[in-house]
Amino acid sequence: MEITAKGLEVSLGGASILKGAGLRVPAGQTVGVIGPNGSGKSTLLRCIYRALKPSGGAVFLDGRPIEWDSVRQSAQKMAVVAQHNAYSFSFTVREIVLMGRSPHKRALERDGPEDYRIVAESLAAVGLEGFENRQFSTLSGGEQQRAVLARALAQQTPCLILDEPTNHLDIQYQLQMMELVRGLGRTVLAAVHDLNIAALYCDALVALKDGEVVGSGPPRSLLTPGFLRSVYGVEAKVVTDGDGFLRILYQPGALRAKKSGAP
Amino acid sequence: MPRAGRNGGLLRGRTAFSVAVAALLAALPASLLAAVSFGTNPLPLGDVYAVIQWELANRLLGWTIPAEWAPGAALHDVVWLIRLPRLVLAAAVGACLSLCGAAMQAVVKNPLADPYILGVSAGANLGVTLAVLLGVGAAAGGNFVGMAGFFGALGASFAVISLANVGGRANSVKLLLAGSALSAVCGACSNFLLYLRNADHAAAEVMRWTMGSLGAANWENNGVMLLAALGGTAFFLTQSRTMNLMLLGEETAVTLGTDLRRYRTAYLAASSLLVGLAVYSAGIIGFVGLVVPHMARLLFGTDHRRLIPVSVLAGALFLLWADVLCRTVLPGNELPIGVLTSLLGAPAFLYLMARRRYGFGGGD
Repeated sequence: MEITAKGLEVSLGGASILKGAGLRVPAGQTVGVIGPNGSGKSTLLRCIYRALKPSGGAVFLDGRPIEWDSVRQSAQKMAVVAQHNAYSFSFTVREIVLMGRSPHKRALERDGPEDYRIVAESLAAVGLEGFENRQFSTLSGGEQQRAVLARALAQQTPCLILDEPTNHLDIQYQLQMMELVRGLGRTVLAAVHDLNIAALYCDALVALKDGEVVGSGPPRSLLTPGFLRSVYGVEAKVVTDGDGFLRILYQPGALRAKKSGAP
Repeated sequence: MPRAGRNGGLLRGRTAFSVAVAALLAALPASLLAAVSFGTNPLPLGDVYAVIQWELANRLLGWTIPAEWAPGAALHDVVWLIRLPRLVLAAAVGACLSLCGAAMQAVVKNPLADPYILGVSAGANLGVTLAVLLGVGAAAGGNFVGMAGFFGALGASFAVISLANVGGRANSVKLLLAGSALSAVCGACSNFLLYLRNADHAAAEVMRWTMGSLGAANWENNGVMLLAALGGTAFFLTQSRTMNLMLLGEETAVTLGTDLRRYRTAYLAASSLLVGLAVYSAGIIGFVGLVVPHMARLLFGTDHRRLIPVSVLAGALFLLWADVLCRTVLPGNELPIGVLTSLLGAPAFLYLMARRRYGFGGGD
């Protein structure tokens, strides 16, 4: 399923957060949204997963405007792992993941063996077997993140939207999570903080700055030293290592040199 | 018990839940029959049950009641017209209040919500006061006091939610502040009205509402209350999945396919109806709606599919026995039920608060 966003505009509290941002995620591909803090990455994703209604522009799934669907129908097409997942009531991990089945349920329908099988599979996929009866609030940040990913997997949607999914995760789980998400063969749109992770796992990147798209394309052509300087204001080397992977190496003191006005 | 806090509740598994619900269901009629033998005047147990048996036989099978047990005989009237309706009312009101507590906690996504704390009861009380003193809504017919209580509750619940949303999204502190502010305003208005009218009977009448009393129970009103309790329970049982999603918040619920806004309004309206009826029948009875759902959560976890049946049954049993205690704890005198539930409920609430492992279902 292809995700398209066109000309999204959002203002919050008088400040313009998105100024006509758009992107396209071809079916089955993984696209990363990059950009400095406050560039509008989360806002862009929230418009796409319908938590926020943009004042301008539109979002399409396979060319169909998302407003034409009920939120229930949308939840059958895309699942979301958001950044903030603190709940003031605690559920067990099983209950949290089971809620991923709710878009497929009618009001009075009970959870069946099939649902429990999907929950078990989803938990296994994120490496949380045996956590079913643990209370969600007692999990570590990384475990919570993985439990929420398991819930998104239990939704069995063609699209996945991830807002900084590797936040809070140890490097082992960062790599595992991105590999897992890629391996699903679904259409994935992810806001990614770490440019090296983005370069390793994304088919294409969309860069945001101040609510506007300032560049897009495959990591290898987008991530150049000049681009990193203009978007993030840092000095970096971009190299291809012996195994053919793209690596971004940041230069210490680069910011200081820049601030002191050195040419 | 270090394991307890790590899991959904102290009692886990489908079997434990089924056994508990069956036990609570069985305990309800058993408690009714046991509690009916308590009272200011000791009555022989055999006589008490004879009255109930003959009444039931008369109603269900059309048997004629012997004069000894018939309406008009002192024994009959004490058992059938005073004690039993009062216990049935206690059970129905207890069920309604616990149910509303659980619903309100989901609606405002806050474990501190309860009809009493959020000012809804005070709103209902103001409605009742207006009706009793000024005859507001008398045109609506015989049950206009109840209607006033209902609209007071409805108005207060929406007022608290919208006040809490002024200047940014509602959070627990703002909700509590809005609730106590509204309670104070409603209380002040009620008191002002009482002061102005200066009618002794009215003051006593309103006093009865604010401290809670099951003394006015009668079968006609009990029918309404029982219907409300059963209907409310049935309604919220069908809403368990949505109530679970409510606790995850607006955005997460949308990504899981549910737009919460219309559900919130429906739940508020249903809760207000139940609280309004409960206030009309028994006045303000605090802390039941707060403590009982938390106890149920402690035992069975947060999932509303379990929480609702357990809360309803436990609330009914709790208020039923609280009423017995009210009538027996002071010899020759009766403690207002609202006083007793607050005396019992507040320490229980503080205990839950101090118990970090419970943490009202988990921390931020």
